[in-house]
Amino acid sequence: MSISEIKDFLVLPVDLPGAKAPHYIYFKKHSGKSSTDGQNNSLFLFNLPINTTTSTIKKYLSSVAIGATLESFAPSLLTNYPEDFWIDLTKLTSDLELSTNLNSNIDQDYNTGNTIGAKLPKHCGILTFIDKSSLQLAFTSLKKLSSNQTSSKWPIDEANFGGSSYFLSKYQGQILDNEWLSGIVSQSLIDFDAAEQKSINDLQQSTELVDEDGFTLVVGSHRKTKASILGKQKLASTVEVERAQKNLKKKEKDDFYRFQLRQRKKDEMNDLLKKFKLDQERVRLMTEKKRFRPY
Amino acid sequence: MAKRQLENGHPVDKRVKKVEFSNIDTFEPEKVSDSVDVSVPSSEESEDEDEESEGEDENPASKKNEVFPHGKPSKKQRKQLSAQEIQVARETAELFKSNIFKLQIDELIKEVKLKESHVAKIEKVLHRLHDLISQVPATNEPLTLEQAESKFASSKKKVAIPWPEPKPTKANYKFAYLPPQDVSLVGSFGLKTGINSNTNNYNMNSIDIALTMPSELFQPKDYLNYRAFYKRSFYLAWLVEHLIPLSKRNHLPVKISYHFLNGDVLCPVLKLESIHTDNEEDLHFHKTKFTINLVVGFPFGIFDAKKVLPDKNCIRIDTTEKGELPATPIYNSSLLSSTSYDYYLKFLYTSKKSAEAFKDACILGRLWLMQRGLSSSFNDGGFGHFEFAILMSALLQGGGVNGNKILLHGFSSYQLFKGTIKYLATQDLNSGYLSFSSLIGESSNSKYSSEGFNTPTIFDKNIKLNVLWKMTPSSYQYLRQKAIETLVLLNDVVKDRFDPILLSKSNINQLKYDLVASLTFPEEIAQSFGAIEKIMFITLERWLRHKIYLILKTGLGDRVHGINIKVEKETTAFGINKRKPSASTNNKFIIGLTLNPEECEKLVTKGPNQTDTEEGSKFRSFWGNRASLRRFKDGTIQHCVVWQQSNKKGEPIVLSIMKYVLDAKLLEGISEHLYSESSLFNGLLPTPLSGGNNGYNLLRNSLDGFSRVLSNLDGVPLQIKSLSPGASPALRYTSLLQPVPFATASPDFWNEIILQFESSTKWPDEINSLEKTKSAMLLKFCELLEDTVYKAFITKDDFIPFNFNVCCLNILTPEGFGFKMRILTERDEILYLRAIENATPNEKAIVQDTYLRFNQKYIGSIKHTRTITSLSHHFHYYSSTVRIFKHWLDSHLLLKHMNDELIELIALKPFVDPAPYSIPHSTETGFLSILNFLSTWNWKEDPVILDLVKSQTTIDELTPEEELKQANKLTDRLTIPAYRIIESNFQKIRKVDPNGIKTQLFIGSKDDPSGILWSNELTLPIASRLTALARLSITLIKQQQQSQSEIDESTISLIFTPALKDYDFTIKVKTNSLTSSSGILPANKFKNLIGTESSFPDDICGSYDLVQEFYKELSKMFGNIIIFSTKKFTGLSSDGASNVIAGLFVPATNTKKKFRVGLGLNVKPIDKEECIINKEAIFNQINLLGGDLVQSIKHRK
Repeated sequence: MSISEIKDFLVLPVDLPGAKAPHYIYFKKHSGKSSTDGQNNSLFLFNLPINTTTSTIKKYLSSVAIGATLESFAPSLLTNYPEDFWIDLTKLTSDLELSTNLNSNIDQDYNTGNTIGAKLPKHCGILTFIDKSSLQLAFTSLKKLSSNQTSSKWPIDEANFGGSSYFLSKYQGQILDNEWLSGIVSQSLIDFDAAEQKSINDLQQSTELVDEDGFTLVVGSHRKTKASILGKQKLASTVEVERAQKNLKKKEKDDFYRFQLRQRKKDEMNDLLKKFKLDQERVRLMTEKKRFRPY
Repeated sequence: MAKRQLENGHPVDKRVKKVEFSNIDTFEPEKVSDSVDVSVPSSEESEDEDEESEGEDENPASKKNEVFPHGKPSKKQRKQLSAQEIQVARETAELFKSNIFKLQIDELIKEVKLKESHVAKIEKVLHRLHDLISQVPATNEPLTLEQAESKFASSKKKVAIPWPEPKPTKANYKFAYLPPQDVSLVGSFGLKTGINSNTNNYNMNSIDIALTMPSELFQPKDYLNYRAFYKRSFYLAWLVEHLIPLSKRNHLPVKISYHFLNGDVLCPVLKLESIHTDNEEDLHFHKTKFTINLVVGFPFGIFDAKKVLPDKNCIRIDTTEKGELPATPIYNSSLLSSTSYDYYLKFLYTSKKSAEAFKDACILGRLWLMQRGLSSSFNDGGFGHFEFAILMSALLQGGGVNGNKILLHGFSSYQLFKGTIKYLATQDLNSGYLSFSSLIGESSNSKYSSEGFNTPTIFDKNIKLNVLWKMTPSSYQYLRQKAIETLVLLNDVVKDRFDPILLSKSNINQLKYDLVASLTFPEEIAQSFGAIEKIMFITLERWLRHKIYLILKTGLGDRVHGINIKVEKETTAFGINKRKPSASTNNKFIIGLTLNPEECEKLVTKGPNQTDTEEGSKFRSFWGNRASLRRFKDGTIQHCVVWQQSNKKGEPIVLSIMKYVLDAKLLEGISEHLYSESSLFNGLLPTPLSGGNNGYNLLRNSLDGFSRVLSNLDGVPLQIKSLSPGASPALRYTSLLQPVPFATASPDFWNEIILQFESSTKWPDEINSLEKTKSAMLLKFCELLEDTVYKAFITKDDFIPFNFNVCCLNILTPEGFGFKMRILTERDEILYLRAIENATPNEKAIVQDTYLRFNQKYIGSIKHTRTITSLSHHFHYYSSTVRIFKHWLDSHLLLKHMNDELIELIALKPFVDPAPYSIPHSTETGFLSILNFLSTWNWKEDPVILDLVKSQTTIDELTPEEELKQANKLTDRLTIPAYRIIESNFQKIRKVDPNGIKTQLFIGSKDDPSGILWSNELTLPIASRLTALARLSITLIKQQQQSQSEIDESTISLIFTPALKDYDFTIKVKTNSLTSSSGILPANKFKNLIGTESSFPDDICGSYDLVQEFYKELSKMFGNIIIFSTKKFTGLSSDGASNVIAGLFVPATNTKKKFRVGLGLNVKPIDKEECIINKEAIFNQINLLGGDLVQSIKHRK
């Protein structure tokens, strides 16, 4: 049972408080696309224990790899979420360039300050160190633990996690402070107004554009974003078409010629026949399922 | 990215409600507009339609005015054809009633047809039997009574003569056996209307052979004092004595026993069952499952019909009292019917020949009766297929008030059946009667007369027999009730009702009746069974049934609609060496009551006015010293009886009254033998701490008060349009715990309400900013409410996935209730729908779920609450039924998996669509009906489509105008197009998901045509478990009924005990006691010893149930690999603090996996490639999370 590597990942056994069996964390150096400066100082971890926060990681590193200074820790947002994908409803409902800053959420549990977390699968996380040497230091120490398969202690802040007081604080956390809330609300409404203003300005510009047929976009006074205007136009056009078709139909006489009457009768008969066939089929299916046993 | 297309329109999603309704709208006008001109449909179809419309017309004379004559309609008639009529006809044809119903009938009749091989076998048997009978020797000379008795006593075979009670002591006439003057096959086998049946029910499988005793054996006076019956008993004994050796010799091995035909003790017959032997020459017929009855009859017309009329006395006894002896209708009828076996066969045969479909209609009638537990036997109501066939024959001859024909010879089997059912439903044969003549070839009409005998009557003028002589007013009432219900089903043009009409059995007592009581009567009761009673009722049981019926009818009055009394298990068969069945077996009655929900629980039984002296003295003499005079609010002074709620928890008033009147009027102390489990079921509902039952009203008033204050607030930026109750079971009377002031620990403490403003265009066009704008509104309210008596604070809400900006305003009212207010704007739905449009295929499912969640909370819940509130006013026992059902679900750890709304819809099914049973009028019946429905619902194949309307159409409303209205959408019933749309939604779902992996329960209604709004989040294991548990409970109830044991506390506790062994692991958890803080009165404690809260705690969260948060966290963290279950109501546990969390690993997680980071599982490595779930580590983390709440974790080995 001493497997220290699995599919390029190193296996790190850790002991959680009170555990009889070890927990396994899998890690490797992260090779993300975001390595713009050629340097990538990150570690990718999978299967982190519950309630892993930046302070947990810091504590752990200080016990196994002193000197490895952590810059940031980005856990997967999905870890504590029952869904499999992360959805950004803002993007799906608007094309305003609102900052995708998740920090503005009223529900603070899902604010991470970055967008990486939304893309990571469950129980994963990325550790970013301040420099290459820190990364190297941490990686070597962890690798050593891994290859020896020595369990190290995983620190969980038991005082603030689990049990009745923890759940009580969860309940209490649902109640929001009014002042804090109004701060957040007014800030994001300012942001929204700004984004909307920008969009309107962009739109204003496009009204001045004359397309190849010589038309310009007309902007009404109510809705102010391009998307909503286009949407409305689309809707309006379909409604118009339907109405026009209806009008046309009304004027048509469908019982003027004899062939029309005959055709209708024929259609009706065929229709009924078809239905009869369908009914027969249904009953046949029911018979197959032994539906007709009155016992 | 930049050019993402957005629009305001609705996406084309089948689940989106708006789209559905717009479909309906476009569907209708087209239908009405083109339907004025009628063309004759194709020939094949037109016949069907023709038949259909005729069947619905009661008066055949008006048939010529039908909608679809083949000739040309006159101008006047054409005018009468309104667009609506045509629409009905058309929609009917379009729907199955004519086509599919007919096809189904054909299939059914094919299915129940006797196997030809069986028929051939039986015919062979019958021939051999006929030979045997002709070989039975005659007695050499007539025997005196003593000679006859000694003859059998000395015989080795120990055959006893089945003398009816009283045994003859001296006889101045003689007994003899002469070969029967006629042997013929009678009954349904003779008529070829017999059906194949799997049941072992005796009556279903018997073939009747009538042996007519020769007239030489009788004297004219033999109709008196049992003489004919005594002679027959001897005849039978002689026959059996000789048949035994003859059958052995002639290779027809049979077991012969005596049997009372239809439970009539005056009419013993011989029952022959095949015995299996190894001898190849022997003729066996046990495989046909038939038994043969040798019925001995009297010659036709041997007795003077005038002497044996139902109102004549034929048993002369000595009485000390002077005056005339009472009539002996049962005796007389039994005598007469014994002369007519062969005669009626011929009569029915003529009917069969004259109407082509008669035979099939008989089979339908027979099935219909069988499914409802009705048969010719006394105990089963006295109305079986024989009576049905006679009635149908009579109706072919007339039957109307003027002798007009009810049924026509050319009718189809469906029309004959429906016509007969309609007759049963609409004509009262108890207060009036139907007379007919069975004389073949006579042209006289049958006629209905409204002046009757107050006993169910169909009178045969020719032989002076009341064909319904075995019926009682109570069994007639039951028959009629069933006919009415069936007629409503037959008239239903929207749904296919074939199943409840003919296929499903309704034989569970607890579902058939609202209150079931069993009464074991002690032997001493026989002392009051005097000679007069004996000649009138013949048996003790029949007299008791009659007497109890009268007592209960008077005592319960308006409180009941029907009283049914049956012997629980009647023994009618007995060995040939016995004179009669052993006595002690028939001493237990089952009393089934159909309650009147308006009246049954009233505390006062009102009698006549004080001024009405005659009625008043009657009332007083019945009630004795319980009767008193009372002045009522309107000034009237009335005799009345006042009842108290019984000390026994949950005992219905009706049961208390029953106990009292049976004690007072039948036998002192007999109530000790009366048992009913209904109190046990009622007692399952938790008692509220505040006492009384008005918690719901207090809550409603509190909401009204708040609503007024809210609308009067100054400074709200937008005008308030409405404030509606949303997701709040307590506001619609369905919360398991009654609302109790300041009971903050109750899971239903917070009642959601939805606030809507007047429309505005200023709402931001982006979801998070929109939610934040709403939050700003809530903040404003919070500020404005500061100066009022209301306390308010804002909480975040995570009900809608991925919308992290939803806030609610929580309001605590001075009355002690809590409301949670959300804001709905007209922009919300648009944005969610837009999100669905813009989602990538991967995201789509999740975004749709998000939309459904939103729809549930903000739109669906308002409609749902509105509907349920009004329905729970209409169905008196709906509220308590739902509550007990929720209790059951919670006991089985299922409640947390289901929306309250889903549960309420499931519970509504037996109320709005109870067929083949009736609407339940008690908590017990309602609850068991739900379980029964769940146990039979095959949700993989069948959707449930509920018509959420108040009253089932009753018989009075079934006028054609009413039907037209229905079709014309003037009522709020479901229309055919709406029904079709819901049905097609189901088919669409099943097309992509035939095995119900994603969607299980589909419950559509006009509130939710999508059918999955409330059941979307259910999972397959939970849905299957729900069905399995319901099945187990119903099986248990059925077993109890079959083994004739009562449903007692242990049965009920079995029904409510969870099977924790089925889970992979269980975690025992314990928190603070929540009983009284949830508003529940703890068991065995008195109200005054528990302090009721009168204010809110400083930290409202302090009283919340921490187990629920634990459960929530667990589901968040491990929900992808473990299905957790727990009880929602920790406060209902015995100590109010314990609960259990059970876990089931998703099966797919248990196998080895290739390692990858997207597994989402806690794994340990096995080798370089693969890994497996690390359960120890998971349990450890669960333990860490639970902390001090966890008491123990148990794993399944």
